Amino acid sequence: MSFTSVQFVVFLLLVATSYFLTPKRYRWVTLLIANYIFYFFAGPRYFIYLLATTITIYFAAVKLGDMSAKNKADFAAAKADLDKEQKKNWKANFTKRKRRVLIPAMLFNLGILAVLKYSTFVGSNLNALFERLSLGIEMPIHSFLLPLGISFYTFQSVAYLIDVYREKYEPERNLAKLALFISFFPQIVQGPIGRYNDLAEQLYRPNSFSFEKAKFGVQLMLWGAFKKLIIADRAKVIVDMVFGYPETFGGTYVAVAAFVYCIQLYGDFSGGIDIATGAAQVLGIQLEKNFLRPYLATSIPDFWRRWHISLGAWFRDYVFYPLSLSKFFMKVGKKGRQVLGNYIGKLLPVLIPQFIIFFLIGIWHGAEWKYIAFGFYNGTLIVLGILFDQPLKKLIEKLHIRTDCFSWHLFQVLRTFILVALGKIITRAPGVSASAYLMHSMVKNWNTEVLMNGGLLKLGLDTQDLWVLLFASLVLLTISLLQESGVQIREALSKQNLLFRWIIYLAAIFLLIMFGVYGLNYNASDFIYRGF
Amino acid sequence: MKGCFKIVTRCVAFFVVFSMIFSNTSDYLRRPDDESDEIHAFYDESKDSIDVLFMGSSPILRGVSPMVMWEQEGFTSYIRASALQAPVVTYGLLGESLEYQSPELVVLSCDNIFQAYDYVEREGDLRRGLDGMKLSKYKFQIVSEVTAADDRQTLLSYMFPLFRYHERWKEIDWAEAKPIPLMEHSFKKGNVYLRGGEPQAYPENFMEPSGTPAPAFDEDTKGYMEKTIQLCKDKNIPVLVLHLPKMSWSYEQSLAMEEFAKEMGVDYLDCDQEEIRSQLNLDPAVDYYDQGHMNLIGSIKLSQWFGNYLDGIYDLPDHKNEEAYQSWNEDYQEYAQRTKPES
Repeated sequence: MSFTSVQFVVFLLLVATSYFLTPKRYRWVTLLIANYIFYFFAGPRYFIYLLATTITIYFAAVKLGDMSAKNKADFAAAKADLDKEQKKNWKANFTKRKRRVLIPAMLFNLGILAVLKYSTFVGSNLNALFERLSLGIEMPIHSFLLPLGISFYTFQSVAYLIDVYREKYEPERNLAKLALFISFFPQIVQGPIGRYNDLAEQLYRPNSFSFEKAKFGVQLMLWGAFKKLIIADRAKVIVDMVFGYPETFGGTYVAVAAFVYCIQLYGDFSGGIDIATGAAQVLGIQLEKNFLRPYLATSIPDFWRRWHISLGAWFRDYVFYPLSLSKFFMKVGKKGRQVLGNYIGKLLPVLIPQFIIFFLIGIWHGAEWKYIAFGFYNGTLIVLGILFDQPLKKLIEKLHIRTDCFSWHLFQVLRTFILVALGKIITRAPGVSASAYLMHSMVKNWNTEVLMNGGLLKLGLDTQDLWVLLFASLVLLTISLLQESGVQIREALSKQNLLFRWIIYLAAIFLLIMFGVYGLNYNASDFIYRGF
Repeated sequence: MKGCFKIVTRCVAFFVVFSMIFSNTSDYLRRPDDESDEIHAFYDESKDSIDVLFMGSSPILRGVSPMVMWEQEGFTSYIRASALQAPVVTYGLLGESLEYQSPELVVLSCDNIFQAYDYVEREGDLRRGLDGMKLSKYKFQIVSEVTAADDRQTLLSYMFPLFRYHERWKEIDWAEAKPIPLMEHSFKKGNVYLRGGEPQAYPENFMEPSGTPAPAFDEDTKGYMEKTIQLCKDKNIPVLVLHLPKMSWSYEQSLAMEEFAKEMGVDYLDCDQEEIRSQLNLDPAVDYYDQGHMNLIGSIKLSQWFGNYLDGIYDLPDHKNEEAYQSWNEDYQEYAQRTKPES
């Protein structure tokens, strides 16, 4: 059930009506039933994976909770008789025992994800390697269809389990309630990846109907649909044309397509997130922010703090910190200081985990070499940024460049955008060599004439569609700039007179109906991030 | 409570404004089409004022003139036919029509019973009969059938055609654009006549036994034909299955149709059977638009004969001097004026 389909609107309407008509005590049950119906529509045979994750995470978390409770009681009783060393050993032993529960549960769930998502990639690459080495071995390869939202609900569940392991909160002892947290329908498709302490309480409490919240939710859904149907799906035509025929469209066309692909990806992904957030808001539930105007970022780390925020935060909390603060990397840092000097050595426990994180983010996006290359590209930029941060600051000072002015800020934004767009070429091209070919062609055959002599009309959109894309993208930019300067659009709109508000609402609805890319004459496209 | 009332009132008001703009926008983006206009101007006819309903495809649409029959016999009729009308649309349109009218007779064309209907290929023809239909259980039934057979289409795009035509904003010159609502009243009563055409000649051995077996009925089309006839039977309305002149028709098809009508317990009239052809006295060089359709001259000639035939067999009422039917006389004046031979 696509977020931009009428079925979804009708589904949401039915869910909201049933939810608010259900006695308060049982509202969360209505929501759970709705989640499972939604997931059932996506493919009943994938249900088993969702159930397997729910059940294993539930039992592992409850076991961890029980262990922690028992350990607390035992420790309190024995504490007085223990010296410092014994206390330390007690703690270490307990951690070991907890890990015996945590690690198998994590491996099981991440293993399902890995097998479904990466087995074809790993198998085909191993087979290629065996062939090259003339080993005469051929591994059987099975390709699986990915269950809807598996990356998202697996990460969300694993985060919950780790938090219970870390004793950040008590485990949920009601299986059905945990099932609700793992399967909340607006976010299961493409995130944001929710945290138990933010989301669960909102899901379990009996939310009352709020006209204001419902109105804001619908407005956000409309805005999301605008980004998806008017911008992203129109931009897709150009992107598919150029990246589909790299030999035909070189030079400036590649730059145009990379630029347009940035718009498409943002419109598509953030549009989907807006619809998800809006749908949740109708039910009185606030999801986490997943985007913060990423193309206004002033550096690559800043971009990653604004793009797919929940994924970045997940990797930061559950991979980066544990790695960076691990004993191993502490030792690496110490050794590094001896060998490479204080400056670089001190940074090593940050740089290597950063690189690992971006490698993981790369493969999270897909089981292909191009995503690994994308991860390395971003990892390299981040590492270089950290390494050259101080020297560059000194250089800027020496050259007397002012950094507290608009022009410097603009330069930073444009520089970051160009670096991001180059990265997008890697992920959108059919493969790593194709992306290298496209980048080479972009530099070698640069010819800005195509922008003026009607060359853009070769990219699949007619003049009217190009104007719509341009105008809609400018609307998106304007809204982003207003939000960046602190204006809260929906709140500001709600303060206007009724007539003005209605004009805006009706204009938005009819713009969507008229200029939305849907129906037979257009190839309706699915949300890009739904595939992850 | 007061707050709740305010919210509901606002929502209703917003929905009303939205519906008005939606309807207006639909009228701007609608493709103008005389067949759709004629078929749906039916709603303007007074309740229970139609004596004969014609259902089916283009031979009836082009070949039968209700106004000629009115002038000559005084009974009222309306054509709810369109080119290559899908059997499911004929069924749905008749079901809907019988909610508004209680006719003395329903005439059904049968030419398409030998063909399977391709919903994907024939979307345009489907929409002629469907897009302007008012929302009803019959429309829903048709759309469900069509969307089940053609998964590229959605229920919404048929129930509200704006969702299908939305990208027509590109074709419209907005400086001169104006809404094109469906025609409200038809003086032709559903007939869409054609002027001129190419002189035709009957094929060699036309309507003579060929010795080959009759082609098989398409099962789906036949099924809908049976359902359509059953709809009339349920309301005790007599049915005449009609075949109008068409040069690709055959003796074997005619026999098969006759057999079908007999099985269904309804009347059958084949205008290509020799006896009827001689009574009609059509001149293929003058009266045909093409091999399958009458032109205006042919339709007038055919309707004069046919009106007389229907009146004779079914004893239809004559309303010509009734006060309630004066608008029909006015419509006839308009028709006569418009159908004058071009100088």
